[in-house]
Parts: sequence; C-alpha cells; structure tokens
Amino acid sequence: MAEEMEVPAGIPVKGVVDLFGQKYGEANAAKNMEEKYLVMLNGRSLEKDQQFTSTVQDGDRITIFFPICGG
Amino acid sequence: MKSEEYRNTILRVDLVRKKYEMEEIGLSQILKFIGGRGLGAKILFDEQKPGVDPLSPENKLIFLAGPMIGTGAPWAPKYCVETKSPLTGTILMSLAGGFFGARMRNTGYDGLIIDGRADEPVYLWIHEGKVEFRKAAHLSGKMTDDCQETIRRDLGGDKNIQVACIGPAAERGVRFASIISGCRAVGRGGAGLVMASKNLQAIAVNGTRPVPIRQPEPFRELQTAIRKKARGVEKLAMFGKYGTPRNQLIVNERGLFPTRNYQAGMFEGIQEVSHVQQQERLIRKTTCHSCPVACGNLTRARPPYEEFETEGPEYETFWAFGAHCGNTNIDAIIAADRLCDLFGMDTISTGSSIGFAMECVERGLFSKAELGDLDLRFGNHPAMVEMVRRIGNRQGLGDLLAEGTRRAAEKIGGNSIHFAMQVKGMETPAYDPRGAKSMALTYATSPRGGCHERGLVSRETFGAPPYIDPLSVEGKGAVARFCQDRTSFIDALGYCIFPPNNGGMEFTEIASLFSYVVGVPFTQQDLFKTGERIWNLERLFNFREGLTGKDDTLPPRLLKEPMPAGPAKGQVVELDILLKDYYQTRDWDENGVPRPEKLKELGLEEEGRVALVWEKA
Repeated sequence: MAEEMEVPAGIPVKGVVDLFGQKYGEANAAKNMEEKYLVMLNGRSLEKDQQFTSTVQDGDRITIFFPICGG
Repeated sequence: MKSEEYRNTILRVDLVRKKYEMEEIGLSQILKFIGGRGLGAKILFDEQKPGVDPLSPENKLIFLAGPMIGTGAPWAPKYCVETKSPLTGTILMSLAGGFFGARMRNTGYDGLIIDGRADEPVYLWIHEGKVEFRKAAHLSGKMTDDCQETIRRDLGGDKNIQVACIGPAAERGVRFASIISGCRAVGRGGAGLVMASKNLQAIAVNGTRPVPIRQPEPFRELQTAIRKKARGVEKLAMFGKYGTPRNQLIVNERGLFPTRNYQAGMFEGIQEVSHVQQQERLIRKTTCHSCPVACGNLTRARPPYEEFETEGPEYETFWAFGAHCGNTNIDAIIAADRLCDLFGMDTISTGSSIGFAMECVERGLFSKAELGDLDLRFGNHPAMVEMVRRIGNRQGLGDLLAEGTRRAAEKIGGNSIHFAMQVKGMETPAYDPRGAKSMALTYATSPRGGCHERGLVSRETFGAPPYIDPLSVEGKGAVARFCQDRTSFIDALGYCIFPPNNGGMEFTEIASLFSYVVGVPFTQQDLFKTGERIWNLERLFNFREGLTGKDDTLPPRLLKEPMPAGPAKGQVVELDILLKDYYQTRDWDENGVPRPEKLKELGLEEEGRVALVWEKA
C-alpha cells in the first residue's frame, strides 16, 4: 500500500525511508531499501545511490511501496 | 527414436469424422521448441496453409501443456491454446492457469490438435487415454459456470474433472471471446470464437496418469529446495497476499496508468478502486495447480452488485473497468469481471472497447439512435456494466464493439482510429508506453498485437531494480528483446511469469529442472536461445500471413499526443528510433525481416525460406 507522510524539507530520502521503516517496526529499513522497498521521488524510482544522496525539497512527493512483484 | 527417450503424446482430433489418433513428438523437437507455446508455433507453422480464414474449419485449434506442468514443479500451471486469431489475423497463443493443463497431462496426453468443424455441437471427454465425442446441443447458450457444472454432472459428478468451455459470447461471434476453465481464461485474441466456429462447446479432462520425469530424484531435490527458498522471499509473500492488483498504485504513481482511454496517465480515483478495497471484499485466497504463492482473490461485490462473486479481478481487469472507463466503483469492476467470465470474453478487450466507445460519446461520434437508452459517459458504471452484457449478447452498440476497437473505428470513422487503442487489432493493456519506452516495443512487435504478456518490462512499469530510466530510448531494444525471449521460454515450459521473475527461481534452476524432466542437459543459454527461436518463428508465421515491419506500430495517440501530466508529462513514443535499435539488436534488417544468418543460427532456415518466399509471391 502506498504511504503518505509529512516530512521536513532538507531531510535525505534515506531518512524518510528510515522513518517509514520505524513505523512498521523495521530497524534497518534504509539498509534494505533497494531490495525491500520501491522508493519514488515525484513518480520516478530512485536508484540506491540516489536514495542516499537525494534530499527532499518543498513540494516533493516521496512514495514508498512494500516489496513489489512484477512480470 | 530410442524407447527410453522423453517424448510428448499428442492427440489429433478430427471433428468432421469424429475420429482421433495419437502422435508422438520426439526429443529433438522438444529440445528445439520445449513444448507449449514453442511447439504450438511450430505445429501451426508446419501444418496450416497461409491465408486460412480464422473461422474456417481449416484453422487449427491446438491445446498444449508445457513439459513442467503437472510435474510438481512450483508455479507451472499454464497451458496454452494456439491458433490463428479472428481478432488480429496473426498467430495467437493464449495462456491460462488453474488446473486444466495439469489434468490434461494426467489423461496421458500432452496436447490436442483439433481440426475441422463438427456437424453438430459436441464436447470432448478425455479420460485415462480414452476419447469420446459427446453431443452438446443442451449446452448451447449456457453461461460458462453452468456449462462446466452441467458437463461434470453428465460425467458422473467427479470434482476432479476439469472443463475448458466457451460461453454465449463465442456462440454469438464476439471476436475476443475466450475459453474458460474454472474462473481462469484463455483470454486474449478470440480463441473461444475459433472453438465455437468448430461447433466444439467444451473439452472435459480427467485422469491419474503420472507426468513423465526422466530423472526424478534430482528433480525432486531441486524443486523442494526451490519451494523452501521461496518461503523467504518477501516479494513473493507480498504478492501472495495481494496479488496483481497492488501494482495499480505503483503504475499510477509512475504516471503510466492509462486513464479514460489513454487521455491521461494518472487516475485521480485510484485510491477508491485499489487492492485495499478488494481486500475488504475478500472471501478467500485462490490458487493454481502446484503454486505455493496463491495470488488469486475470490471477491464478492457489495450493493448494488452484490449478486456477483469473482475470482479476481486481476490488475488488468481493475484497470480496464476502472481507470480506463473513468470508473471509481469497485463493485462495478467486480461485476464486469464476473460477467466477462460468464459470457466468456476477454476482460482487457471488453473494457478497452467500452472505454473507446465512451470517448466516442464524449466526441459526439454516435447518434442517439446508436446509443439507444445508454448514457455511456466516462464514469457511468451502471452503463458500463450493462454494455458488458450487450457486447456478450451482441446487442445494440454492443454488436459493434464485439468486433474490437479497430473494426469498430473503421466503421465509426471521424478520426476515431486515432484513439482506438489497439495494435494489429488487439486492444492495448494497462501500461501507457509514453511513460515506458521498452513497453512501446513490447506492444508494437508482439506477434499477437497489443499485449503486455509477450515481454513485460517490470523495470519500467513497476520500477523493479536495477534502475532504468523509463523515459529514455537508449538501449531499449535490448531490454525489450531480453524480456520477450525470457517470456517465450517461460511460456513454453508452462510457468507462470511472476515467481521466476521475482526471486522464486533462477534461470539456471529452471534449466536444471527442465534437464531433469527430459533427461538431457539444458543450460540457461539454451533457454534464451529457444526463446529467441520461438519469437522469430512466430514472426515468420505472421510474415507468411502478409504482415510486414510496417505492422510494428502503435495507435496514433501514443505517437503524436504528448502525455498531459505526471512523471511522463510531454512524452510521446519515438517509435522510429526505438524500432531501429530493436531490429538491430534482433539481427533483423531495417524492415524488420529476420536476416538469413540469424535464421540459420536458430535452425529456422527452412521456415524462413517458406515464409519470406511466400511474402514475395
């Protein structure tokens, strides 16, 4: 399910994923980002490196999905 | 052929004389085409004359179960039906899960090749190696659930009997009529209509014969290890919980969820018709044969559609009767899904045709007389559900839409072909390729037309890792080719596409399992080479039918009309660039014709000579 969370501007995407993980009892969510979650910034998927280097700006939309399964 | 060699036993059925005979397919053909989709393409190419009318007795109808089906290997339920499509005029291969494929192999036969047309409605009863032609006049007009139950009762009521049947839509000539077994459909392209044209109402199968495995011990060890490993794959666990519908939110977020007949790529009402609402209506999970994931959802609608209970809807059906028709009523989607199953119709083509008609209404292309009493606007779910019935009955405007969007647009005129969302006559599914450029190639070059299943690129559609830019055209030929070849061998083996692509199995493990079944070594490279061979053979079939590279195209809307908003805002499909790259990576010439060297490499020289000579003539 998609999650919507309020986050302060300037926070790294990694931090958002950590917040998301904590909400669901995941201690190491950020470490597992690539494998376990699909992280999107304004509708575009983020590579693992980008997840660690990008920061959230005002108006940005981060979307996190639980592990996905595709054809 | 050595007596201990692995082989397939195929049943040839002559509906004219009501006779049958057995035929063996030897190991060399199986190693070259695997089975299922691959073997079906080979049989159809070799035995069917070019130019045959799909609804004539000369069009063959082939049922095949790939070599992994019924072996106990996880995720291998998918039998295929191969024929020439009455919707597209191309080669047609459609797959269905459920239990029919495994039970067919338990009869002692790996497939059926059906010829001719019976002089009266019949159904086939195949059990423990025996075949009976039984009268079927009493089945005419029955919905598919009633038809299946009636046949089971006729045959003594054994619940193990599996029935694949047509419904009223096929009998009335709907061009995208399907074949239904349980609630699983051989959905796309009109195989049900071909079956109806043969006066063949159903095929019932039962049996207990074991499926051959040449090296059972290592096979058992490996498949047990795969099952154990799969239990720890979180992606599969989530997939099992929600099934395909969860992907709606992801595809929508990525801006490539076709909305109101591809007029937009994000649906504002998505949260009202997602898997969350489906879970609230869940009765129980359902599964196919030998599947440890069980992604199916038996769902019951709420008022005003509470009479409908369906196995699904799946992702594509959610889209077809949801975003595509601008509908935010999930219960109407459940009702439409169930009606399609009962009538025996493809949900994608049905929903897509209705969305197309809704845009025609928006643009004033129908007269009041043509519309009759229906207010077929986007979002009007009672009208949408009623139109499903009318297509199934070929009644009023439903009679026109039952021809599919391409033929309907040709009759409607008024530039409606611009927004008739089809390729080669088959309606395109639930990914807008303006936001996923490899998918543009998947749609444009699919042998059966606008189809996602002939090479879904999940890295683009769902953002599955490793990352690729879905909007870039660079290198997309190779991406599409990889996914097409992979899907070809997975289909031929009889696997479901999802688990092998999502951590359930490695390709090396698939190759090993197949090796143990047939008793000779087969590698991952062999799998991909076979996939490529199948893809090229299907193309040669279509070329022999008169198609050319010019048919590798997309609806004008996708080529000319920029995506209005979302992550793919401003995008169109740069098809010329994509195709040039794709043809090169396939080793086809600039017109999309497979080069002789490539065909020689694939062992298809003779087929190439026949197909391309025919094209020149």
